[in-house]
Amino acid sequence: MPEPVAAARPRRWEGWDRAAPIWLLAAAALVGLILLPLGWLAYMSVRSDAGFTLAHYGRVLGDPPLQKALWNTVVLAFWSGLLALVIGAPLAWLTARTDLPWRRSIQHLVMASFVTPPFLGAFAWVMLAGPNAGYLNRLYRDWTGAADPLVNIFSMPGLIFVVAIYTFPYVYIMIANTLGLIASDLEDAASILGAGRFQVARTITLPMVLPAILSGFILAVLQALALFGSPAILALPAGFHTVTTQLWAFFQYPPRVEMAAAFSIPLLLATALLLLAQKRLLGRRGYAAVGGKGGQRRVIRLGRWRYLALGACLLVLGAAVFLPYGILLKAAFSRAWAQPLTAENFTLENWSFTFLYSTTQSAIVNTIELGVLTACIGAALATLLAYVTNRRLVAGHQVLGVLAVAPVVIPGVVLAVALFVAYTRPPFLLYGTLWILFLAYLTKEMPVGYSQSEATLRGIHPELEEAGRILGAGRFRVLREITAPLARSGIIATWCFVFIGVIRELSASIILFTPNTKVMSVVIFDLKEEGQFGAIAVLGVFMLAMTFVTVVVMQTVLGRDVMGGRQAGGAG
Amino acid sequence: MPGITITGLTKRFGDVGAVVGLDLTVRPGELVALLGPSGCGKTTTLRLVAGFLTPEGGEIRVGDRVLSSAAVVVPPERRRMAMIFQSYALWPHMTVTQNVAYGLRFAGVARGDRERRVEEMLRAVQLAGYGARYPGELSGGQQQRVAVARALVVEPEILLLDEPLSNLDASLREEMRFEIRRLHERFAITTLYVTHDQAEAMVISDRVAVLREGRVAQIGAPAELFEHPRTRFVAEFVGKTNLIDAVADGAGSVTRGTLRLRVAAESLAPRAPVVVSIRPHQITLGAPGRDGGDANVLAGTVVRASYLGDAVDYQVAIDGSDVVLRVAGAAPARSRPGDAVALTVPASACVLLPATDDPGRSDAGRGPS
Repeated sequence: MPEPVAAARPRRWEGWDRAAPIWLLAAAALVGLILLPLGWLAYMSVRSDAGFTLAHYGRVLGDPPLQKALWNTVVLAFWSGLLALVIGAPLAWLTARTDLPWRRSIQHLVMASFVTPPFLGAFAWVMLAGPNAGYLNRLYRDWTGAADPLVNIFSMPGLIFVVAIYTFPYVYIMIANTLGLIASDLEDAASILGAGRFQVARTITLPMVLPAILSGFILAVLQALALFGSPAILALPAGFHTVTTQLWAFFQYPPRVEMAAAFSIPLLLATALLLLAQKRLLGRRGYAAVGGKGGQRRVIRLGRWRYLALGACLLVLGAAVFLPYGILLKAAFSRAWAQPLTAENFTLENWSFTFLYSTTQSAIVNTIELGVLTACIGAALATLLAYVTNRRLVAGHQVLGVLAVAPVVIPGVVLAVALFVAYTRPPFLLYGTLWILFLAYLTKEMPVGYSQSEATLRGIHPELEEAGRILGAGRFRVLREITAPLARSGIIATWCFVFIGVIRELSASIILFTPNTKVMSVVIFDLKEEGQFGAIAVLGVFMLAMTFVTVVVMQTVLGRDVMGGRQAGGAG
Repeated sequence: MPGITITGLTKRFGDVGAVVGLDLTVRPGELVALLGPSGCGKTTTLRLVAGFLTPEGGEIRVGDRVLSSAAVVVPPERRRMAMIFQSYALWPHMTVTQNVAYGLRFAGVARGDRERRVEEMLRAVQLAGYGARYPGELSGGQQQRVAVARALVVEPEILLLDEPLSNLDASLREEMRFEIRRLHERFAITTLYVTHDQAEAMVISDRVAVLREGRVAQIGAPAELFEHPRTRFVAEFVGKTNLIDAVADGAGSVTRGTLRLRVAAESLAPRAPVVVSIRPHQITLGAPGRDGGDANVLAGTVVRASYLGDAVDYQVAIDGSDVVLRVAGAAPARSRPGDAVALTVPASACVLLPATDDPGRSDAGRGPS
């Protein structure tokens, strides 16, 4: 076939992707957001006036009180992780696979525990189980006439307990989702051969769910490692430190930044290793793969164990939700929170005091401003990044995906130290402004935002965009007219996730705040020093109300339960 | 109306060569089917033509414009093509009318004209009156027709179809085959059609290109491929066939053991290994002792007779040989397992194929153009 004499060739620039600058900008923002502070952290930990040194590490790791703090952290993380597992796994099995009464309500209550800020729970439990004025202890003393309290929440076991009741939802979600993937036919095969329902659970279901169980345990341990509020409230009065409280102590005047930097690194390494282990367990798909073809799931009948199981669930939820929320509400409306709620004790003064107090007012404004700003920018950035990695728009997109979830490895306190180091010097003098808090929140919530966006985009078939392009629409137009409308509810869900995460954030805020840039969680912490439990309760209730409103919005928009259940009539 | 010229197209995914030096020409207004098993590179080739993938080597030309090369790829939105996807890719948040009208916005068509053309096209695909519905409210067949309307209404220079019928049930698929052929004859757009269904390819296309391992094994009109396959692979993929390994005797026949067949081919070198392809429907089953004239007559015994309703599928073992031939006979079955029969095979039905099937051989791709 003879070639045409002159073939019209396209110009080189015709082949360039015009959207490339946007993708590259998003990628650069992510890299800057995460690697810059971490780089500074590593640098500070080995810096001194005389140049490179390992002396900081030496002092930090060789100092007996600091070693004790490290050990306490290990003990706390391990035992609370175990307790979270013991609570979360059976609860997940009961709600996901059996005919437990009130399953849906219990799921919602677990969700309530999930969104409750752990430090609020810790405060509530101080009011419930403090050795002197704790409500439960008073009841016990009144009934039995004993002089000693029943429990003292200001102890390691107390701390383990409080941490576990707010980290078990992570285990619950992981296991409930996995159980949702197992079809009944695998278990039916065992039942037909004569196995009783508990035997089936033990010999068939359990091994299949084991990777999810271990993975959930690791997740709970990771959460426990990073907590600041609960150890600060319960451990410090009891006279012991964890790594997070110790890091905070390093930042009390005068700040010993190099020590903090050096002390952060072991924590960072520990979380990184744990996450690696968790990834291995789940394989490349990121969830516990189970055998069978999937399909119908029948419920297991509990028979006479029904009410016993229900009682156990209610006990757990009582500890996590009913009792703490109850005491918070009571304290919010009482003159003296330790006294019974009689007509004379009832007051609305706590509310007026709190909301008329200028520090609280500005803190609430700050929190909402930061929440909205971080949620908007975070959702946009997360969606853009998820789009870039999902559609493979730049070389090295896998690295972007890893970076986007990398912050989960960085405990909030460590992140705050890193940001402090990075942004307390020219040219980025952000310390003392709300911007440094914004950066902390954006970094911290990126993994959650990115995961949700990723899931949203995976649900939008690339062919829907290709169909637009072949008909003449450029990349951006397709993004605007085809992808965005379809991704809208997912983007709103991302927004809600980030917003909730920001308003309850404490561990980074407590290090980066200044008198002019307080947020609600910091104010609550301040009020603890003054013993203003009424005001704490009011702010706590307010924070919970904001959170629940957001959760309701999110579930309505998504049409399904975030815990993985389906709402009746939802799109699923 | 331009044609498509693909020369030396190469695309790798990792170390797997999905398309390896593929050459193909689609004449203006012609419908060429890319036929082959999964993994043969047909969808990759289509996506390269659409501009969604960048080739590592080779060129794709439409008319006299070079659209894709290893150096530059013109983006899909500027290639003046339209595509119908396997999943239809209808936008669920837009009505049927909005879906179909989408491409017209970029073709510089005024709003009034747009509405008119959309209505005309919906009538052409028998969906008049469905404009206000959403894709979620339509059946699979209706969705498919919306996808067709959306592609045709922009009057593209090139039409690409990626297995558009594979999501439909069997009877609908057959009906839609004729529909697509009818639309092609009406609009006469240069079309590339990917399918793994051989019957579909035969009904729909002007020419069929059989792909194997990233190259064109043979290209030609459906009858050409069916009656004169050039390789073992093509003979087996396009329709059912009997394949017999034999040796040429240099005098217009081939032998295998005691079996001798006269074949329709120029004289071959003696003792050259060959493969003989005989289509089951070209063998006539009859009572023993018939005279076949110039045709080959083979004595055999019926092994199996499967009743298919409108036909009977026989397996006949040839006496004195290890060869078992499949024969397509008319219903009702006239012979039963164990019966002695005579098979009449005309020499023209015995097609010679190369003994080795090397997809890398350069002349395997050159069908009659």
